[in-house]
Amino acid sequence: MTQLLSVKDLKVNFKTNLGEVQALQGVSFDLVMGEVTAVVGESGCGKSVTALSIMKLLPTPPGCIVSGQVIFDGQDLLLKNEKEMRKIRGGSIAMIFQETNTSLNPTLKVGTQIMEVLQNHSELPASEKKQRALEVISMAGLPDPEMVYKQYPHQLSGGMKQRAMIAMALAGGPRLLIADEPTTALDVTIQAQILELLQELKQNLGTSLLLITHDLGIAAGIASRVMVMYAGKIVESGTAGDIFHDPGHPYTRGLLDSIPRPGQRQKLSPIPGRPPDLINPPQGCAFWPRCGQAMLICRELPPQATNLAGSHQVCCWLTHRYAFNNY
Amino acid sequence: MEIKPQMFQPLPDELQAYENTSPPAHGYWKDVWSRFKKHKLAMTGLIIIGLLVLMSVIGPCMSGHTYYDQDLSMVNRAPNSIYWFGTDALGRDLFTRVWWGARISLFIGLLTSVTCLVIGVLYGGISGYLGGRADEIMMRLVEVLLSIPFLLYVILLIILFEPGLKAIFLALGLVCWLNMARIVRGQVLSLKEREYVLAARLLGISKWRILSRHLIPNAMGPIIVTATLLVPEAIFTEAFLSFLGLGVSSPQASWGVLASEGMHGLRNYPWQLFFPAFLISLTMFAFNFVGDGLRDAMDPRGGLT
Amino acid sequence: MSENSYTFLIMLILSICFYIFMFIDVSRKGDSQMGYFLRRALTSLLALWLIVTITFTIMHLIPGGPFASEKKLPDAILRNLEQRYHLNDPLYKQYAGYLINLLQGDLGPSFKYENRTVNSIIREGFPVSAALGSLAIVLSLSAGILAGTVSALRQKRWQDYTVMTMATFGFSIPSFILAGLLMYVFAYKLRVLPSALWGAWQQAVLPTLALAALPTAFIARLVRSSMLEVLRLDYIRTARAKGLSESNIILRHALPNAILPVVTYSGPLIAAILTGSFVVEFIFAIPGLGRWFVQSITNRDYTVILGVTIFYSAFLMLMNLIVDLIYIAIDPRIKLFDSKEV
Repeated sequence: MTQLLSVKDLKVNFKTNLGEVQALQGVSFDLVMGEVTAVVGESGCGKSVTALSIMKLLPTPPGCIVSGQVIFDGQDLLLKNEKEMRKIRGGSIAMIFQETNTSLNPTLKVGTQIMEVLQNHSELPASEKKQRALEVISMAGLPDPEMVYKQYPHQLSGGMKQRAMIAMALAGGPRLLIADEPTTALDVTIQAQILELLQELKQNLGTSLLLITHDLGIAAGIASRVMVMYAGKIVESGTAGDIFHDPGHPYTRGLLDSIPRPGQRQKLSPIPGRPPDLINPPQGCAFWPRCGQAMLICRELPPQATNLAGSHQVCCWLTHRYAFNNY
Repeated sequence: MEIKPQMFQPLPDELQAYENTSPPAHGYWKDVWSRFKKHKLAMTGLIIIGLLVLMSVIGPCMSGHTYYDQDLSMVNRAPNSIYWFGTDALGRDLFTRVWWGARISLFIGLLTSVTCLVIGVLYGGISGYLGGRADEIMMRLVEVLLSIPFLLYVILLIILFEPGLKAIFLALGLVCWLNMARIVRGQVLSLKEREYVLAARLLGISKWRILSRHLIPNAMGPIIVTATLLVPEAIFTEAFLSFLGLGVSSPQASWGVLASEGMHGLRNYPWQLFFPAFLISLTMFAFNFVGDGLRDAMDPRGGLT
Repeated sequence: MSENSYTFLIMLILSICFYIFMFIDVSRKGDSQMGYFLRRALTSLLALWLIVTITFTIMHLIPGGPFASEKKLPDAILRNLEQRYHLNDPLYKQYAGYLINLLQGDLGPSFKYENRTVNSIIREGFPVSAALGSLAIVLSLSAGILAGTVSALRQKRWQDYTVMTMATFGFSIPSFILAGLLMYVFAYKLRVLPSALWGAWQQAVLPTLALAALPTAFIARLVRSSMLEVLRLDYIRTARAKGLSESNIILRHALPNAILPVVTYSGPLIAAILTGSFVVEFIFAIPGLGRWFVQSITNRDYTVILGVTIFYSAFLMLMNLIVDLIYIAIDPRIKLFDSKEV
């Protein structure tokens, strides 16, 4: 089990007119080589900010990485300069995005946009680069690569655009692929196809995958490890089994309870309220205002991560030994 | 803080009712005004406009000369203690004429802007609100008219009406509302489908009321900006027309007329051009800054400041 | 012919024009590229016809205009006019004759100069105006795009403030005042550049500057704001995520999309240069069409005013069509969807 990526105590702030938003408040996790890790959470909880910070693609200003480390392959990416980062982006770390319609440049042909990656990151002789581009197009499951190579993005359907994005990501031969809500904008059937494709690629190419999604179903289907984020912090992490069968955090349980299941007759129980304002985050645990099991201490002190079993970690006062006495 | 077992008591119910403190909600216009106030250039512009308007009111009576009295013994004098801005080729006091011109130029600018505002809001609002075939026909007409090089037609129209203040108004009014109508229509279209309009309709409120009470007040932002920027445009156009000899006729003076008169004596009497030119440019600046400031204040993304 | 029937005729023509416009819908969806273009061309032609009809009407309405036969004119010109326009014919015949002359490219004689026709004036003046105008367009496009891009890339830094302040200056000074100032400073005071006439390159400098200032300022602002918008778009983030260099991102991904509004603006740009040329040519005594136009306005040389107006209108519409073609060539999204449904 080798760690490909290890994020340590990452803190990110955004400056806005109303004050400083603490988007990430000390995020730490490890990503194991060859695995699929999913980050789940409501929108605005810091999932995408995490992904962009790893690539150092946060728009700065207003974004600002306050502290922390992002260790990839033994090197801290946060210490690297722009030029060194450019070698890594699109090369050993590639990223695909949610907005399939707007993430490809409308005025350049798909082939041109893939070739750009090769020109930057590939050692292949010029003559073989086009061959390689056609190869990644068909690897991404697009029919008729020659045709797609010559087309403009608007001539492709939504699912095909996302495949073109994946082809572009594959072109650099990445060891880590970050997929930020890769299927959210797509139809359900196409979602399934794209997820299948990502899984295939992971198996065939050995690429690790960091999947960012708000959809627990997708995470359950593809990820081996799952992290649950809330208000800029990771509140629970563990294997997919841990999270889905033995959730430790009330928030995770809340998320699971708000998914409809086939055959389930009882009413869904959504989590009441809204995520907190990250300009003035609650003093204690960020979740207590919405938590059905909140205790006095939850208002006072933020809980620390506690190991339950194996790699299953939960950040909640309920795991404290005193809490057991009361129940 | 020390962790004690009693802190692990469940939270009492009255504490559960915790509300997220969101920032206090201001009214939209109050927000706009407070952002506008921070825009230094725009505030400067506003002050300049105020001063210009003030001077256009009191300026013509300050020096004791009238704008039409000629003194042929005092032609083309440089600025001095009697004639603060000098005199023109007919010995008329430039100071008085410049502020008299300010009256006319500002009047043309403001009146054109208001006229276009009224026509544009009516036309565009109705077109956008009715939608469908009526909208198509009304906008088609605007498009066709827009494709015609309008300045040429202003010139033709003024020749037709005989040059003068009335002709300038008519010609500017006939062509300037087109853009305004398009902008209003765009705003109305984008607002039309929002829930509150539907709600108003369900409550049985009449179309006219929806238009005047809900749609137009909410579409104000870009419309106000366009109207603000129409003022310098009209002054600009008037100056241009005056230069072609199609402006107000002597002894009346607008800045355009004064500048074009000053042009003739440029080599020897540069102040005759300088004063009106400076004031035209200052007015342009002021209105453009105010327009920019308003745009930024109403749409807080992007922009300078 | 009575006033009533005459007004009736004009109204009839206008309403026919108008109805035809109604049925040519240029923005019809799912249209092919060629169809779109043909439709545009047809609309332009009809708009031109509308213009001709309007000018014809105005010619008849102007008090003391060219067709007011009671006016005292030199015999030669009167004969010329009568022969050309058949002034004693019924109005519909006159209108038809006018259209036929136009179709043959004949804009008629000058009202003031015996030995000139509108055609000869255009032939003489237009090449000069076109040369000056092209210079101004090239200058304003290159300077405007460059300044706008720099300003957007250095947003809220001194470069941005400098460019935007200069743009506001350019925006706020009417071209004739700028022309006057340039002339005063460079020709009268510093005596480094000539103040008038046309021919040598030195004579082109000041008029070009005076003419290009306003469009440059406008383009700089346009490019700045569209650049800022494009830089926020998702595909720019994609390009960054691919590890492309900043210059590559700007030149290949951002700029081509950011200058699309400039292409749309080229129609009004040409119109602005054209009207600007009236005063600039007049001030610098450049023998171009603009100066002829201004002179004919001062002289109330109606046939020249109207002929040149029609010529200018046709020219601008042609330019707009060309701009349309360029737009289609640049932005693949409005291309014909070849056999592929989207």
